[in-house]
Amino acid sequence: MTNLTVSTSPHIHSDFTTRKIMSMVIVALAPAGIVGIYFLGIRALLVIIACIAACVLSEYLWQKIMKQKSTVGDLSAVVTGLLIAYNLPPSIPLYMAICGCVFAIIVVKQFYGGIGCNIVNPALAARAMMLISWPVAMTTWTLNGVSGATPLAGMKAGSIVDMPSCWNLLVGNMGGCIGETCGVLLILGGAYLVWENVISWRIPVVYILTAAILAAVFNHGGDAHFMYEIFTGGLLLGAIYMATDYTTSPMTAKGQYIYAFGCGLLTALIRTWGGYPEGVSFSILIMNVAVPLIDRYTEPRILGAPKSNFFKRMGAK
Amino acid sequence: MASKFKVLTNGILTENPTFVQCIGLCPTLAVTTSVANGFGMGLAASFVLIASNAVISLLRKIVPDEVRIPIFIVVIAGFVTMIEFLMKAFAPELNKSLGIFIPLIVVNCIILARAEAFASKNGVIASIFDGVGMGIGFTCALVFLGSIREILGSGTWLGNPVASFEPAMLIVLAPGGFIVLGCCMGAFRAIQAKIANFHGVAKPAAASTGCGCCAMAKFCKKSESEKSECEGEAR
Amino acid sequence: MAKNNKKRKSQAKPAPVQTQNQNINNTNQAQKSEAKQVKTPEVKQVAKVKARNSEFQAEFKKKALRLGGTLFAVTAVTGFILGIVHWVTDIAIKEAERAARNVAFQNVMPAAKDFETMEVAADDFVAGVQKATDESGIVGYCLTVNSKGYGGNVNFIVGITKDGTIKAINIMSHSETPGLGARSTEPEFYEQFNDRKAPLKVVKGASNGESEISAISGATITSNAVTNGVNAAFEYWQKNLK
Repeated sequence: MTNLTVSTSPHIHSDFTTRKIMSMVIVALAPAGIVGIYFLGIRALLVIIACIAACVLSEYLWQKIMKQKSTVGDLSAVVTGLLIAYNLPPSIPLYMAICGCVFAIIVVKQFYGGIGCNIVNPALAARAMMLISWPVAMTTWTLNGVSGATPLAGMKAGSIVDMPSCWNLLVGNMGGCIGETCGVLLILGGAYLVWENVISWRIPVVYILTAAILAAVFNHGGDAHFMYEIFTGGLLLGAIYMATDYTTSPMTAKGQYIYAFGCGLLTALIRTWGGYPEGVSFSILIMNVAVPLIDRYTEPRILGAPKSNFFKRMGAK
Repeated sequence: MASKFKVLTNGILTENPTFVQCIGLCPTLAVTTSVANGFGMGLAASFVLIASNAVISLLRKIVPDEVRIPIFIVVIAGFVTMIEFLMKAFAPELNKSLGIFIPLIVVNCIILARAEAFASKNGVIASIFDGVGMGIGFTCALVFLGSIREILGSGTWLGNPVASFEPAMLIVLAPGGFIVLGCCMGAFRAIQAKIANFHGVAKPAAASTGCGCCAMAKFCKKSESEKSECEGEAR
Repeated sequence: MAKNNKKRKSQAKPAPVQTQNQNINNTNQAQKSEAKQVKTPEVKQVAKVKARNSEFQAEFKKKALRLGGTLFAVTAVTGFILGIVHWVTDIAIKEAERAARNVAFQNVMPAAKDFETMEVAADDFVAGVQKATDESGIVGYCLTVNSKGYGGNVNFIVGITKDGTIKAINIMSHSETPGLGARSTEPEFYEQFNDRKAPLKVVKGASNGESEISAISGATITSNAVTNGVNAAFEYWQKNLK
């Protein structure tokens, strides 16, 4: 009896490692990026490569300086870099993109404790930071060398004359950020992730429906078809890939419904009356910060424990 | 005289009001959007600090314990008002850019904390040295932070353009102030720890959370058990 | 003060304990004892406590006098010194304020030497008018305008010469977004108004240099606010000051 080891449970592990999950997310994201590069030019590819390299390098260097174990191998930095790149216009100067990536990895992720401890989604925080720091560079989009407003900016101003046709809308032949434009492939990628059980359908579906319905109720964009609401801006990218981040979304189903509804409501509000034409990044960031509160109030009942009444759970004595 | 010099360097390094004691942070964040503002505020606050330290130290024997705080505030407010008049008359540009933060020097924690912790218990010369040290430390911190924020956030230094890149506006806004201050504090403390390690002495006690970070900790009337309950870690 | 209270309470306690047993019998006596001057033990205790009370009150009065007195002295001396400083710097302050105000007017009407405030009715846009003069007479007018921008009112001064040309504008205050509307304070934008004829129109992209103003990219609302304010100031000038 020599080779018995004693350990605590669990004793059976699935092979669902962080690395595996992240590689599935990369596979889901890749097609949309390729189409984006096709429509927006080779500069988009340069931005994507620069962002991924900056993220991975900053995580590696930080962990080396802090004498921590390197977690670059779990590919989460690669996913963050990819998502940041997908949120940028293709003409962004590279040093700005690199600053955003360093901010996302070091300030938002590593300062708070590394993967699993960040309080907000790093890619979205980087996008917000870049939007505030360099507003002009972040809101200049070129399509075929011509710079112009995106459909969302047109909807905010109330003029829907120059909108892309339905086919162009779906396929992604319009102005916008690198990964946002091809709606069909983003949805396909999302379906793949749901099928592989990496994300659940709740947050994306509830978020997108809420945003579309409420924006119609608030009369955003006037006569524009509701498809424009869904397929323009970063709504698909945000709802499917960024709002569903494990660390910054609620743990229970009920919590996820509340979270997705909140995101949708805020997106519709900001798009209709807010100062920016695009509301997805800020609404997800706000809801991320509210997630611990949501988690606390949607704690599931422990099996066998008595049903506590609502007020007791809210903290009354 | 050596001890007087120790009092001086105390304010600049070991007990720097911004990076170690973490007091007076509100005006720090507000005025470090440019070097000129930071330096002006540092000078104004230092003048008030030295003058009020001296006067309070002179009065310390005749000020009754129960009304000491109102008397300190009256003295400090007197000097701040004097500075405000002088700035309005002879430096109106600086007065305009510092705005409301000149009158707010009255409630700057640094001045009241040094009055309570040092000037009311020590002689006039020592108090003046302490005021000078804390003033220099505060001004250095303001100029340092102001430089970083102005170069990265506006692309200038003292108004002269120095940056060839597009400056990041976030840094001169409020969130950037917090982030830059936090990073500088962390770097300062890390360097302090490395130096202490090198000399083989214990690292200077950290101000983190709870009673440990309060400038009044040694004079607080809370019981020891209450204090240790909310004491932050002193790593 | 706290110490005094404590002393009084701890010392007053023994008296009630001792007299408790004899209370019922001696109540009447205790009440009449002072008048009768009968020196029973309880009477002595009450007298002692009363004496200590008045002692404490005298001490307290002395202390209150001391506290109030020091506060009064410090405040009075501070107030007096501040009064002197204010009297000394008052003239310099008024001069600096006047110079700052005039700098703004000088910027929009460089030819003028002196500015005189006019009593005029304000309207939606125009808040005040200064008459700009030099040795030869009136050179033009400086109108202070408030125009609703993106984040609040944009306050600026427009210089209009005698023949109705917009000489220049000078933005005094605004609450526009930094990097977007706040760029209205940059020369590339406001110098477009130099030596123009109203009414002016805002266009995106390049302007024709005569009747068009090129908007700040990303800040159409702010650009419109300033231009509308300038047009309104010109209308006001046409109606009231021509």
